[in-house]
Formats: sequence, C-alpha cells, structure tokens
Amino acid sequence: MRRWLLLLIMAIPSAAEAQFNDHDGQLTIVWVSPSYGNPLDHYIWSYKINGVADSVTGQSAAGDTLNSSAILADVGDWAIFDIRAVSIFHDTSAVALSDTAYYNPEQSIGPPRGVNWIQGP
Amino acid sequence: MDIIRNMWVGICRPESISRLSLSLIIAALSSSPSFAEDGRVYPDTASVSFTRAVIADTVTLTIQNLASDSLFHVFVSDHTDSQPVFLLCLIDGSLVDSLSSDQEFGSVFPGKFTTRWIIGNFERYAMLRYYCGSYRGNPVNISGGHPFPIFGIIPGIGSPEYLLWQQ
Repeated sequence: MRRWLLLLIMAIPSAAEAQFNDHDGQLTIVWVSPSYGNPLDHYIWSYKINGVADSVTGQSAAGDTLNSSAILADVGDWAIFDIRAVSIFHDTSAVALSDTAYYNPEQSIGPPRGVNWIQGP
Repeated sequence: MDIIRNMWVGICRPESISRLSLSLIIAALSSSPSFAEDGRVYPDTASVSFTRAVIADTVTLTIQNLASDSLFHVFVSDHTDSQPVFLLCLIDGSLVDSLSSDQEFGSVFPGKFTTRWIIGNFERYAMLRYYCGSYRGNPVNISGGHPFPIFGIIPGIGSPEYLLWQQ
C-alpha cells in the first residue's frame, strides 16, 4: 500500500521552479490540457522575450502540448510563455503563465589534474 | 447476525481498509472536477468580487460587494447541459427560498439551457447555489449596477496547467 501511495505522490506533478536555466537558448515548453471545462478546440500562446510582449505568437491544435517556437539569441536573454485554451464554443480561458526561462549556458569546470605529492622542505 | 459481524470484521481488516482507501483516492481523482475560480469583472473594478466553486456538479456563486455603494439589479446567467436545480440563495445573510428566473434552451449555446436568476439588490454579498447535473464548464456571467454598470464572466474552460520548460 505504501508503495502505491508513493507511486501516486510521484505521479503528481510538482510545482515548477520560479526560474529555469536554458543551456542552449532553444526554448521548449510543455503543458497539460485543462482539467475541466467545455471541449477544447485549440490554444493561443505568446512569448514575452526580454520584456517585449507578443515577441512570438501563435496557435496550437488541441492535441499539441509542446512548443519550441522561440529562441533566445544572447546569454542572459529571458522569456515568459503565456497560453490560453479556447473551447469549441469560443470560450477563452484565463491565461496561464510559465516561469521565467533564462539563457544561461551551463559552465562547469573539471577538478585539478596531475596532483602529486612532492618532498617538502 | 454472524454474517454481518464477519462482514464487518472483514471490512475492518487493515488490508481491506488499504484497498478501500486506494479505491476512494482513485474515485476522487476520476469523478467530476472540484475547483474554485475568480471571475473577471468589467470595468476593471476592485469593488466587486465574483467567485465560482464547483463540487460534485454543485455550483456555488458568490458575489461580494467590497464598496460602500449597494449593488443593484444583479442577475446571474449560466449555460448548462441539463436544467439546473436551484438549491439556495443567501443575500446579506438572509436565506431566500426561491428566486425569479427564466430559462431558454439553445438560445445562446446549441444544446444548452441558459438560465437567468434575478438576485436583485444587496449591500454586502449574495451566494447562489444550484445543482447542474453534469458539469462541463459553463461560462457564467453576472450583470448589475454599482451604480455604474458592471459585467462579470467566468470562462467555460479551464486554463492549461503545469507549464514546464525543458532543455
């Protein structure tokens, strides 16, 4: 039973972090379709890049839950994605906002190499 | 009597309770949605709050007046798959047994009942509760005067959820 509960808890998506570091500037975002409401017809979405609203806009079919239409050109650029659902009756949902994504290439450094003991004074 | 006692003992065994708990969790997740959401009020005013809560296909609308001026001539419209059943209405703390209402079928959305309840005037808040049979996401709206005309709407579809960036 505990295993079932653990699996159930693991299956519940956790809250997103407030900031996302994207390593290559090629943004990809996924979402889950609305959990209630009239039948979904399509999505309307847009990106705000570096504070400029509607930098990239578009629509997605009801079956699409992934978008990668935006690219951050320079390190330090940032983007926020917003999306609304539109029903077959043309109801438009409230907006859902993403966390902020930053173009922040991962920089790592290896450990020192060639360490040898030497005779001290 | 023994049969009933044995049955009760069987139900109360830990593994049976575990199975029952799991069944209840699954049933709760797969049943009709339960949620609450705020409506958008036009003009963009902070003096009127409009909220809908849905639990087990029972809708509770709460309209709250946050200003000193009364709200008047308020009515509520909903569009449901079946004829809604009025349950109760509270206006400024007083229970109202029935409200004036009218109903049309298919006049706004094809295949849906549009019902309008006349709430009237109130000082602080009005709460309307009704059962809508099968909740499918209905755009609910309110209209009234404050003293300027107000209009509020809750969309008939939820927002996309769990937005996540990926590498």
